[in-house]
Amino acid sequence: MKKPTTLRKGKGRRTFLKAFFASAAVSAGIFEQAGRTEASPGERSLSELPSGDGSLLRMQRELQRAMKKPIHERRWVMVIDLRKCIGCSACTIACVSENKLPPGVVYRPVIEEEIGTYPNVSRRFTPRPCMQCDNPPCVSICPVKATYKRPDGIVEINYNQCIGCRYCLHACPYGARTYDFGEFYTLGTPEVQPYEKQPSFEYGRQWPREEKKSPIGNARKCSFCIHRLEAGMLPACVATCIGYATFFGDANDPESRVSQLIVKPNAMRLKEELGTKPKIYYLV
Amino acid sequence: MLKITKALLPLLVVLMVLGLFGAWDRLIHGEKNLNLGSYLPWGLWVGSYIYLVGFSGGAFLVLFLHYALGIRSLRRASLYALPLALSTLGYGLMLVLADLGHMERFWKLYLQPNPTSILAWMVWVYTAYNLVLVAMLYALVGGKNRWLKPLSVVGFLLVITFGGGEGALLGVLGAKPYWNSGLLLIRFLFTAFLSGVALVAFTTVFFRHWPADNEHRDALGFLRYFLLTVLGIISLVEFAEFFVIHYAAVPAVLEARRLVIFGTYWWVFWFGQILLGLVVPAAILAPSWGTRPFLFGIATASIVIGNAASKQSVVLPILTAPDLHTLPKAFVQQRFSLVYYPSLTEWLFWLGVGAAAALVFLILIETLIYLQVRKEPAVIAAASGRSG
Repeated sequence: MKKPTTLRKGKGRRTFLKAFFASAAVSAGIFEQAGRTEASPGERSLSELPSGDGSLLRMQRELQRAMKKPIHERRWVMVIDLRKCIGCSACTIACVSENKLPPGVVYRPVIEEEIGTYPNVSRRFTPRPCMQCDNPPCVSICPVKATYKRPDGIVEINYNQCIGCRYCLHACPYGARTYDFGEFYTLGTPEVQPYEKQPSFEYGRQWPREEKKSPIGNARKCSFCIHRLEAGMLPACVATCIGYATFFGDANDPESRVSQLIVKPNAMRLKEELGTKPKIYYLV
Repeated sequence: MLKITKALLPLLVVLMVLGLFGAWDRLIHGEKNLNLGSYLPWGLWVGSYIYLVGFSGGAFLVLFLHYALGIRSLRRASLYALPLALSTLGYGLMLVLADLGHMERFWKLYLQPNPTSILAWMVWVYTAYNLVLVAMLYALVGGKNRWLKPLSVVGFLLVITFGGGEGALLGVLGAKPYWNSGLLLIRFLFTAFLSGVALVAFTTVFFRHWPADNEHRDALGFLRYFLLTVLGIISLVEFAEFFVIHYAAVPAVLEARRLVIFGTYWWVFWFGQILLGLVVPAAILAPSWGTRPFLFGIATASIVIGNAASKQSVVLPILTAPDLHTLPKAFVQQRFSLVYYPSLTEWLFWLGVGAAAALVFLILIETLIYLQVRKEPAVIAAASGRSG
């Protein structure tokens, strides 16, 4: 089985430069996204990737390959290698920045635990995005069908349908849903700064932060950055992870990196006993 | 009009004015000034709603016992029960409406409901129940007595549905092991019966329009036995829960139980649920002095307060347990707190709507009793001796 390629195992300066420009290409997609049209993914031409065999480039190629398939033939999966996670929270911040998250809303916190007692002590960092459960308890309880599972397995929230009852927050066993109370970081200062009112692009639409309009007053959660996937880009947390600890791809593609990782004996999921069948796997 | 009613009116008006400030803040500033968060997303308003609809259902039980089962001693109590059922239902639903992030989308619950959601079903059941209550009020005022029996049967079926459904709302959540029990449905249904009947009993004592004659004593006698029976059932549920949880000792459930008994809100369980909800009323009602009006009134007030605590002690402590251990420390912000105390906006709105509901109750009770007294000229003299 092919081992993950990391910068540290690269072949010197050339490899480093390839990986650097590849990461830059991935990040640059964020700006490309802002100007995109409403064309469907099939019609949209995905950004051309530089050559190279870096971890991110490989996953992005796999992603673009998956995007060419019909939506119901894709099964997005995220794998988080806890042995590699250093708890830097770059993924948390990338997610906040990508989705313009206000105070009180977080999609991917990193849980920190200290295990053992001195002198046998270790720390564990567990990023916790939405588990995108195959059997999501948040869906059946929503009174107005505002949350549902897409054919590719991503659990989506229709902000314009959500009435803000917050019942789904209780239903999630992972605490993955938070609520937008309409706050701003610069609230209480002379002026709420314009950057806080910038729209997020969640679910492929523009969501400017305006008083009493969605997503304010809605339940919110990680969407695997659907808007980025549709532009052929990896989720922001994956592209930002400095330790290459997060992997993403189509589990229906036997050649994909995630397909190879999730069958390993050290792959586990949170609270499997509940039967929610999360699509986030942890390598422990 | 009773002296107590006259004394309450100005207080209620003041509270309603204060409530307008709460309503204004909620409408203008949205939910920014609510002390809720993502880990404690429901607070005073939803907690009260769960309790208030229980009141309504319990009060309706008195109507069912009188009109459907023909228990004559509850004739006068049933006049209090209908306004109570209406006003507490309206109070609860107003609170839960204000709690919605998008109140303006409320209509979606009717036109675009999710058939697999208990919450959606509850809205439909409440609506049907509300229609039954209005129809009963119309029948009482309009003298259409033949409607009352079938309406009380239909209403009772709806009460059973939403009384248990309230417990099911929480009971079906597999994410919360402590709630995830069929026993919760039974507990919620019977606490609804207990608190609603106790409230009817309380009002018949402290808002009494009739002399304390034999009919009054018969009513108190019946209600006393009824309340003692339901107290017994709830004690049984309490014991069953205690036994199963501690015998099975499933860590997650045991931890939640520990939070209920010894957590931040331990006093709600011990002083509210156990002392006021069970011990005090049982101690007053069980001996023969239990039907003395003043003591009976104290016992029912104790049940009303204690069962409010009972619902809160089932709900609130469980929310203080994070879904994943140490999750609250992963991202620290005010909205991720595990401690909740209602904000001024929440209190003001809660008080204001409560005062409005109380006013509706007083107006309805005065109207219904006026109409009843017109039919019973013999009691006018006795009644006028008590009215101001």
